[in-house]
Amino acid sequence: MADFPLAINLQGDYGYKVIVVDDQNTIEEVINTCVDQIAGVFVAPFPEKTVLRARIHGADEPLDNKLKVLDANFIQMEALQVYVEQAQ
Amino acid sequence: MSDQENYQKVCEVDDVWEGEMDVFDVGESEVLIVHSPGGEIRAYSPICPHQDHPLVEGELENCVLTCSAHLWQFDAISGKGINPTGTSLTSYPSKVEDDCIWVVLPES
Amino acid sequence: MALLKMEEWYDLARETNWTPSYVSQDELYPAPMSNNFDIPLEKWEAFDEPYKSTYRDYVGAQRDKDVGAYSVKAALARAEFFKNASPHWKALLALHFSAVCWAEFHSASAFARMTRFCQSPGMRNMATFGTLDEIRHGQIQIYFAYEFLKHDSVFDWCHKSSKTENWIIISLRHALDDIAHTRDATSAAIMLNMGLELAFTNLQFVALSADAAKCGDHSFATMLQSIQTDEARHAQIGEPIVRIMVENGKKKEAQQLVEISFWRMWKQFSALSGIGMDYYTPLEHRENSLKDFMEEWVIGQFGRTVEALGLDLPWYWDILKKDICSFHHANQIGVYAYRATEWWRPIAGTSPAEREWLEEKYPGWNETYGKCWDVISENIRNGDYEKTVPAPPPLICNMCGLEVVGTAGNEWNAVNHHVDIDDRRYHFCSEPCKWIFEIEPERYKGHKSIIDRVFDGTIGPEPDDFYNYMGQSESERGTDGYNYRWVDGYDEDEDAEKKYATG
Repeated sequence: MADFPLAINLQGDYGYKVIVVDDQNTIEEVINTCVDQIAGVFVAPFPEKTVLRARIHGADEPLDNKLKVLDANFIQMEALQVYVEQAQ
Repeated sequence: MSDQENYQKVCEVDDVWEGEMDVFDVGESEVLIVHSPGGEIRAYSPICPHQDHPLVEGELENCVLTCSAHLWQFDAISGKGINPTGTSLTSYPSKVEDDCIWVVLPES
Repeated sequence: MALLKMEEWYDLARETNWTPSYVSQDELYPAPMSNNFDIPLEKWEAFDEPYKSTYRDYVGAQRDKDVGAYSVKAALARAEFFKNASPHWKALLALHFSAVCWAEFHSASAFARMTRFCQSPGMRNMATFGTLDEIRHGQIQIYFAYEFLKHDSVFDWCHKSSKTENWIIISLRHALDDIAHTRDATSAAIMLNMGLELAFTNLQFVALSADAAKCGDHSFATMLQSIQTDEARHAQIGEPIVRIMVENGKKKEAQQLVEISFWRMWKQFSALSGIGMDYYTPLEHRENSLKDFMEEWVIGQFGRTVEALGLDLPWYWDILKKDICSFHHANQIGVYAYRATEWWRPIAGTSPAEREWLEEKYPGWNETYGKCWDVISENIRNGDYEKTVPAPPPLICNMCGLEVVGTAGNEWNAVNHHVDIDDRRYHFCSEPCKWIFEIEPERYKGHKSIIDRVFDGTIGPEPDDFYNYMGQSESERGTDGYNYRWVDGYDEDEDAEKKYATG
């Protein structure tokens, strides 16, 4: 269990924020941490059934929600986007 | 087309005293009228060739026009650059007639 | 006996040079300090500065300028302009003076290097005046700012800021160190004169002077104008140097120097002048936006100057045209939200009337950056002030030191450029910032952004550790200049000043 900083741009935000997660966190947990810290601050809260996914900046495909940070081969401060996959 | 038809009235001679300069609207353009000590009257584009600063904000003294932005100096009668050399004001053909100052402005 | 006119002796005096016999030319002008780019000395000696000045003229003219500026200041001292100025104008003055004073003074060192090490006597002569100019610019601005110290201790930062590790100061200092203070005299002359002075100082000194006059701050307006009159004289060192290089087969080298320095300084001015013009200048006194000024004076006028010298327009010119509509808007959101990390009191500058102006000048602003401000404004209306302060820090560009930003809101577009070296990720806000890094990775890779320093343990984990590292005691951490009383417009009543005065 170790801290792992990621640079994340949540959909709608003007730029990236460096969010510290635990390397045992799953991508789904990373998404939730990001939303907790940024939604309602720079971006309006998402409607309840919004499905959010994460992807490495520049990638077409989202990351598997169950993938752990430790197993994702991220470099420290990897740039990710958290985006709306399908609106409610 | 004769020159007479191209001349437009800018102002009256009394509008710019000797030793002074001022800028006037002629249609959609602006014209700088410079009345040098000694009586010579000239018409120029109102902006400095250096960085387009309004020349009327500068100083006219002893027939030298100094731009207020960066102190470039021009001969008020010939329009030629004194410091630096190699530059000049854009002058317009002008004449004094019937106590008024007239200029020919470029087409554009 | 009559004195000779300047034009009768100027060239002779200017070209008087020393032919070394005890040491070689290369020992007198060693490459790391001087750099002749392998161009023979006689080609450098063809240097001809357009605007000429003798020392006698210089002393007389400068004394007249100082008398002019200082007498306006003295005459207006009783007007107590600063005391009655709005939080907008106070923020602008605090930002200008605390960023610019030391930057000018440090430039004296760069010009002194040119005075000693430039190739031709004409250059060294002009650089002598430039050195004196920059000493003047540092001193006059710090003296003008000193008057405000009794009203607001933020002006302590005019003197203090360069000695801190505040993130904004790191950004500015890195940029100026890169272009002026760690280069040979020839390169520094091109970078400082072309990339900074000719390209951008009109923004901060002429445009701002006009706005200051409109706001009634005639002391500041006069000071700025007076400073700018010096600029044309000493900035002209760069242009003839570029011409000599182009004429002697060194166009590529000159092109790169201009491209690096221009982009580095664009980033700085987008923050300083962009936020200053589009957010801090009181709305009723604004005419032109940053975009308007950039299009006319930089993309237009400076672009023409570059081409007239025989260079090409920088390769990133189209990127610049987009950046002038976006980068500073995004960064302003961060400057406001992370206001505690600034030493002055930032303002939002996004009241309803101001948002209308922004929409007019930047069509689409409300659907993009405005969306972030909608959330901030709503939190303020609900009294949820703590929600206007984000928990996580922003990502910082490893070249310009400002935030890595993209488009917000309904046209959301994340921007990121990066390189990995030795297991370390370097992030950049733009292609040109990354390009500069990749030209000389060894030069840049050791530098750490403020965020790198947070995550590598340089800065301790507590919030106080962060602010103390940046030189900010508790009373030096920025708060909303209007105490949140801006969301639906500004108070016009007489007690407004009192309401805003407390943090």
